[in-house]
Amino acid sequence: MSTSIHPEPEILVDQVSMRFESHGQSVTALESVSFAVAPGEFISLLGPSGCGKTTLLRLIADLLEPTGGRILISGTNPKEARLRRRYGIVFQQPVLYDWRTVRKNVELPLELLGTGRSERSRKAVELLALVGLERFADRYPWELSGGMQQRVAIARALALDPPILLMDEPFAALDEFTRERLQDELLQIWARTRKTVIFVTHSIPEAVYLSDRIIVLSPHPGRLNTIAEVPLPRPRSPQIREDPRFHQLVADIRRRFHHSVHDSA
Amino acid sequence: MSVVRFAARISGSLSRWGPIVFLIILLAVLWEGLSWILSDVARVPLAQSKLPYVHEVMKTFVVYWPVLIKEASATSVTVAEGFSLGTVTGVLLALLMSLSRTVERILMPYATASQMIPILGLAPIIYGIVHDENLARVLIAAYVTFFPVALNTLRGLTGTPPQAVELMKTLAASTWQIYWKVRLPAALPALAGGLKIAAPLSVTGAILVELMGAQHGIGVLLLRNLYYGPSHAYMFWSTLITGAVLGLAGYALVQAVERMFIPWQPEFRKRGGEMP
Ligand SMILES: Nc1ncnc2c1ncn2[C@@H]1O[C@H](COP(=O)(O)OP(=O)(O)O)[C@@H](O)[C@H]1O
Ligand SMILES: [Mg+2]
Repeated sequence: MSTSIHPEPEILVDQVSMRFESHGQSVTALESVSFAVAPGEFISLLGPSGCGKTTLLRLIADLLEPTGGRILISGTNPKEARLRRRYGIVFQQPVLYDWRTVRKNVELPLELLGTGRSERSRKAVELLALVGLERFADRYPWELSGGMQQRVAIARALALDPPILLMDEPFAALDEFTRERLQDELLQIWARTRKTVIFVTHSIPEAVYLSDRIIVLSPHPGRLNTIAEVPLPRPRSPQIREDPRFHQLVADIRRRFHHSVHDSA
Repeated sequence: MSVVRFAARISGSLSRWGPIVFLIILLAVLWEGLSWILSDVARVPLAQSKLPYVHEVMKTFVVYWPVLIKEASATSVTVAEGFSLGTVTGVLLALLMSLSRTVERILMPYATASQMIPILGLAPIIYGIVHDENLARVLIAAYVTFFPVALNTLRGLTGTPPQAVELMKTLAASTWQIYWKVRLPAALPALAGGLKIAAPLSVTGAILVELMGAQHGIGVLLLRNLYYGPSHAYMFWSTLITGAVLGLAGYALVQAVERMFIPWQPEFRKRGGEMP
């Protein structure tokens, strides 16, 4: 059971709007979006490309500032949350540093914090074991496949054990088999670490498989379409993908989504 | 097994060095032939000053190598000093310019304009100011070095992928940490590119200063042999070749250092590095 109404939300998005001005033109990427995420909840932001998912995640991560509304993270503003390292982030591209080994890439957040060498190394090996890459600790990122690189990025995002994990289509560039395997790994990590996750995706089955709730966005301008509950039991295993309830949920969201696109067209 | 591996290594280095060695031999033979035609067939006046026999030039190497080495090392020590000074200056300039748009707008036009002054004119001016041939050589070598280094390093620093910097921001990294851990390492390949342009330039720059009345160096030897005329034609050519070798050595040295310190660049990666 997800607790959609929680006394103290981990993340609060309140009437957030984002307008970009470029070359004298203004694009409204987000219009008055509101939702709350409870601690420990797994939330997906779902929608077609261009509907403002990345923008919303970047606003939460304090890589952008909203032109309207406010965002609260554990009661503070996003800048404070970023400086206090309240979240770890995984982008669509792994963004690993070529001059660092896999281990050193995972150690980076600890290095910035001034953690000692042996403690850093111990923590990095532990995290690499969590994502199943301990054997590749001393390889370089470019010696790894795309899926492995993305696992390194996940390990790095977990390095400071932040309460929040932000992920922007982390598996979009991967093949179907790798993607499903990483989805299961992510669920296991989440079950073990109980982080609040905001997961951006444009894949309906992916959102349904992973989430407690799905924030469905519609484009032009980016607006909140619906918030869909996913009442599938946990822990979820790959068999759930075959479950009729799973297919029903995917079909429901797809239908709701198509309606809204036709309405706005 | 080991015989096979040995054979493979031989054939490997053959396929790598073979073409180069072949080209050098071919050039030498062509040169020797042309020289012979000029001197003994066409009987062009002063033919040996224009295109000397390769074997005669080689002979001067064998006889006069101590002198050549001595003058070459005089040149290379100052080149090394000037090159280092220019590199440090160039990197510092690039750092300043990357930190502030205003600084870039102020400094860049002067840096560019400085490269419009011909070294031939600048060398006597610097020599006249510092009155020290050693210092003048160092300064000229630094002068030709700093610009390509600054330009390339700046491009590397500002061309760091935005996401690479953004990730550091999400980790609440300081500006200093972003520079030290991301921007500088990301700029190293571009810096190496600048150094490779600058290395041979700084050698020719230093030699040019030596022509202005220095006591030691390849340039001095060149001038002396030129002054003595045709009788020293072979020595002139071997000095010239020594100068060229110095420039090449500088380039090769930079490349070796690059391979050692920036091994992650795509061109240095082992083939088939991608894994499934
Ligand atoms: N920095 C920017 N400048 C101008 N427009 C932008 C910028 N970032 C995003 N946009 C616009 O905002 C809209 C939403 O983009 P984005 O958040 O990347 O969508 P999504 O991640 O859902 O594909 C798009 O129309 C895009 O062109
Ligand atoms: Mg996006």
